[in-house]
Amino acid sequence: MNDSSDTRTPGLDRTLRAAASFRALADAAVDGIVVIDEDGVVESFNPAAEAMFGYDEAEVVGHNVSMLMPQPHQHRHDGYIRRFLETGQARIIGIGRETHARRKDGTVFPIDLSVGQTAPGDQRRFVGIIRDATERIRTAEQLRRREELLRQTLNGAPLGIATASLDGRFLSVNPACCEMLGYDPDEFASISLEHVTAPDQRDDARDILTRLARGETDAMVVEKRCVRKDGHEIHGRLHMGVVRGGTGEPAMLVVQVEDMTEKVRAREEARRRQNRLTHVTRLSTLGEMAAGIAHEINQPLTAIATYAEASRRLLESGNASRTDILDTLSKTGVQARRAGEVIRRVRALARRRADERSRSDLNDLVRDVVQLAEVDARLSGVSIDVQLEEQLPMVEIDPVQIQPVLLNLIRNGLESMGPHPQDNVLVVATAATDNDTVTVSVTDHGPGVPDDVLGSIFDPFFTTKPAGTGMGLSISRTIATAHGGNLVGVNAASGGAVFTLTLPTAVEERPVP
Amino acid sequence: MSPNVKPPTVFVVDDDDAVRDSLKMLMRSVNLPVETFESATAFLEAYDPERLGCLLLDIRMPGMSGLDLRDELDSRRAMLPIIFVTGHGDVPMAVDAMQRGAMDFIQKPFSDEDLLDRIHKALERDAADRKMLRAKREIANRESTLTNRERQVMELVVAGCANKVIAQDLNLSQRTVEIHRARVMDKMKANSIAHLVRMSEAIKDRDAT
Repeated sequence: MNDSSDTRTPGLDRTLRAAASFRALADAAVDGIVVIDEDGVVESFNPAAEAMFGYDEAEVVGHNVSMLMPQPHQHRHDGYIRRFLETGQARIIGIGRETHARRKDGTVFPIDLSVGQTAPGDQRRFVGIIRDATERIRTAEQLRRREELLRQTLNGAPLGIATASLDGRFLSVNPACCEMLGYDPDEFASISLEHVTAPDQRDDARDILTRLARGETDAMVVEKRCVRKDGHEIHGRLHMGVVRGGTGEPAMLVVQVEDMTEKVRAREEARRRQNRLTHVTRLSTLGEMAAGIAHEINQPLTAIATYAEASRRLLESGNASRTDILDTLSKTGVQARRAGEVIRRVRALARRRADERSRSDLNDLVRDVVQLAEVDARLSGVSIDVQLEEQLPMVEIDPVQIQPVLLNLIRNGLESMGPHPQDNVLVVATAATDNDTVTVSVTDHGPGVPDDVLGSIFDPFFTTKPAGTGMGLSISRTIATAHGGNLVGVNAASGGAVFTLTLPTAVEERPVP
Repeated sequence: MSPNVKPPTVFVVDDDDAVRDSLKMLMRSVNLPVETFESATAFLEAYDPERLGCLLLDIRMPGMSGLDLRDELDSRRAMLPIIFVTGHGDVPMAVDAMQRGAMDFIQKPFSDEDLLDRIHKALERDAADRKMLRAKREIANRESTLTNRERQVMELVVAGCANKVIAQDLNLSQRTVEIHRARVMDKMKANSIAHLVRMSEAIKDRDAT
């Protein structure tokens, strides 16, 4: 600074100081700053602009600013300024816009441009502030694509998907969710998860919401019945996930609903069919045994009638002893109970109802079934040797289903042995194994199962008997499997066949050995 | 028949203890001698073909069945009348038994009247059979006293041949035939030719059984 400068007008001095301030500001700015005059000629070009465009300030100053623009702006820029100066209509000044710029190497890139002007009167200048928009636009595009992907996914998803607040109010739902529950999308705003839960399951649903809201778990899968707007119930499997906020606290829920109605119905139908088939098989087994059962009931009835008539005749003849008659009366009672017992066993076998598992002693079951099979055994000239392991662990079974399985195995064994009078013993044995199972094996002394047939005996409709249905072993194995056990048949070294039914022991309260 | 023979007895063969016991009591209540057996084999071991009575036989039994026992008795030429006792599903078996000559069958559970009625009929038939058997044995005894020549003459007489034809057939004189013929009538104690024919047929029946 010199004296002469000090003597300059204070206005000029202020201008110079302002210019220095602007320079400092422009040098420090992160955004590109370009100053042009009314003709579009560049007066200054800050370092940020240099970095952005690849030009040195010296290469740009004194040239028309259109050199920084791609077509068509390059040709039209003079026109833009003229129109503004003539009409005062700002297209960009004071507004800012997104446009494109051109680097020294010719590449074009997106920019956010805002333009200001110096005060009118003076020679007017325009200040352009330029920010490279490449990153911003890329991020925005990524975000848009992500949103589109999410939207498409939600709209097209076969699962019902909803977001809900921690207290269960719906925040958003996808079309599948609307379809599943029968509400319009805007109706969800006024209902909650509780509304669409079957009334008897609402308490459970509230418990689950509480656990999720407390952050005890991040996700839960529950199967429950949902109520549609029209009141119909559907079976849903709900996958409920917690979305945590920035602080890690649960913020909202994402609920995915899988419509299980058809699957549940199919499962129930399959179970019903299985039950019916089991029942039919039981009945056909009973049918095959009808003659034997009638015989078994006829015996006590015959004895009862004969005891009664004999007593009457003795009393009429006058030479009945009181002891004889009393003795006969009690024998008659025994026979009546014997007939009743046969009927009880047959009824238990013929009864049809749902799968009812209970803790049972397999030994009791075996005793019952052997008594029922005893008729057939006697008529085949076979004796049944029952070998029961003492202290057998309990099993969790439906006796009504397992009984016919055993009966079937015993009767098969008897049939295989045929009417040979010598050495005909059928062994029915129970045993506990080391790996928490209990077995019942039926060992016959027949000819065994031919090797070429052994692989097929459990196939449905496979039979070697002229009047067989071929369902006995097939259904027996199905029943065994449904109980978590299995049924296998092998030929014994002694020549006959051994069929072994294995059942898992009941989980709790196993008796101490 | 020896004079110390046991009275006609109802033999009960049934594998069911209670049925056997109740039948025993019923027979006693009407003063019928009764013996019970739990199996066909046990009965065969104890059975004396000379004993009178009838057999009340369960058709369905383990081991040897009622039908098997009947066959065995047939082969032993035992003539004890049999009443088969059948269960509900055994009608075809019973029909088969009837066709093969069983005397009777009764279905369980039966009425005591019906059963006793059949037992009495069976006992009567047994008595009649035994009487006929005794008669046949008597005829057979007489026949056994004939010489071969006399037997030849009897056969031709029974066949209806005149003395002249017999003489020619056997290459004898008519006079000799007449002597043989008189001896036959005498030894067989025949009142007439018709009587001789009946006796001859009775013996043939025996040979055929």
